[in-house]
Amino acid sequence: MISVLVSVAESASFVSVVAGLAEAGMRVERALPEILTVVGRVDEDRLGSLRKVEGVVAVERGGGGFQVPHPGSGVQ
Amino acid sequence: MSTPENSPQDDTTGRYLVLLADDSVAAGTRELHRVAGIRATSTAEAAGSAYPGAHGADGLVFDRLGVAVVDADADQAEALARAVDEPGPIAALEQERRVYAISATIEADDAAAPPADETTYTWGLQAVGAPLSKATGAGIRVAVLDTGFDAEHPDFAGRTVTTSSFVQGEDAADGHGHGTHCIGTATGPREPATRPGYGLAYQAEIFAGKVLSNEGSGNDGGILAGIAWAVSNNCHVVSMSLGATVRAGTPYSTVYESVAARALAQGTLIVAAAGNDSKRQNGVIAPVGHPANCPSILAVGAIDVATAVGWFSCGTVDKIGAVDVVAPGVDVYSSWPRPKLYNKISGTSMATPHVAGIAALISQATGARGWELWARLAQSARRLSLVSTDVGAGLVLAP
Repeated sequence: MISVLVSVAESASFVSVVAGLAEAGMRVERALPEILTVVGRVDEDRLGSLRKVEGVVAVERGGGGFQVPHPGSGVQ
Repeated sequence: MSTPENSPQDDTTGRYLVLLADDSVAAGTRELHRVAGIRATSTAEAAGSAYPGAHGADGLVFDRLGVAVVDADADQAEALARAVDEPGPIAALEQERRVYAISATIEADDAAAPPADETTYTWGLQAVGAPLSKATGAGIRVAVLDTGFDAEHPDFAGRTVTTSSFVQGEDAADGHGHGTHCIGTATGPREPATRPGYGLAYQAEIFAGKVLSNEGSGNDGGILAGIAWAVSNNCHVVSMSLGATVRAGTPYSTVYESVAARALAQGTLIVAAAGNDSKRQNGVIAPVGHPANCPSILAVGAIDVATAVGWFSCGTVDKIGAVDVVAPGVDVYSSWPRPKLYNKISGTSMATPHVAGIAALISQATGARGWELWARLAQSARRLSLVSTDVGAGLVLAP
């Protein structure tokens, strides 16, 4: 499974979209209605099915790592 | 309107620019002669000459611009100034300035600038004019999404601090130091027990969201959860000294862009570090990283005490991400988790909380939020003699 980020339309029912994403195979890890975003994981071959869920604006791969240097580094 | 001085100053030529009202160029040319005895010729007649005096005239009228450049003595300048204040085709008058080619390098005097005196305030606070500002950040909520916070730091005793961790298995305590340093710059004290003062919005409410682990690492889920937390707490500003390297031309994240745009619409401005991937000493300028490369996230670059761009600071190298503003980001002194208490480090991570703190001060002073706050930050920035691809609108300034 790959990490995935989903943006939900303002006009859509957020709860319904989250349910639809789960039905489409997404394992929802964080549902964030304040920013209309859903974070989770999905089998790579099912990415396309997430895009077909009504109310979904954008689907993109997540999991990009963020890293700040070791505390002893001069440049942070 | 005040009467202009006729004696040339160092940065003026001794000539004047006269703005003629729209659709009144011919009438304005006649008016120059009527009120001040100035005979001006049009650019069409002067065959492209750029200077008054062409063809024996006292001035040159740029017909298509509606502007005249004229030689005028003190009495003539007085007469023109009076004409501006009266109804008629002469709309404005100002001294003609000398202009210079913009240099991409710092001035020699700046390069030779001695280390800043940080006896009372850090050089960063001095550079952004914070000691002169009456704003304190009171009533403003600033969220810093980072490695957490040492809430028991003595410099923050009595402050209103809300913490939350979005890192699995870790509380909001800062086991790294990066977060406490950033929070110190954005919201730390102006008069700590041990000087120098290092905080900008020193009376702001602090929201310390831990989205990076004690090892300094994080992921999208935690960061987006932190943004959602800040938005739901009605924070005015979110400071994110974090990012991921991108290659030039890589599209920005549609999801982060949607999130940032929605946050702005709800009155929450997100500022983020442009990134430290450049090696300018080798001529390498790296693109603005993710998520600062999103159009609705304010990307922050770093300058040093001599107002030169930090050697590591990312720049605008493609049509995707752009540096929006810069702030002090080299040798920045701020708070650090106990027992060390203080540290001096560099990076666009250090510049970003300077901008967040300034944004809080501006929000308090003006009531601006969201896009309006963004606009006020950019509009009030000090223009620098550096290329805009490195510094955007310039150095942010306290209100």
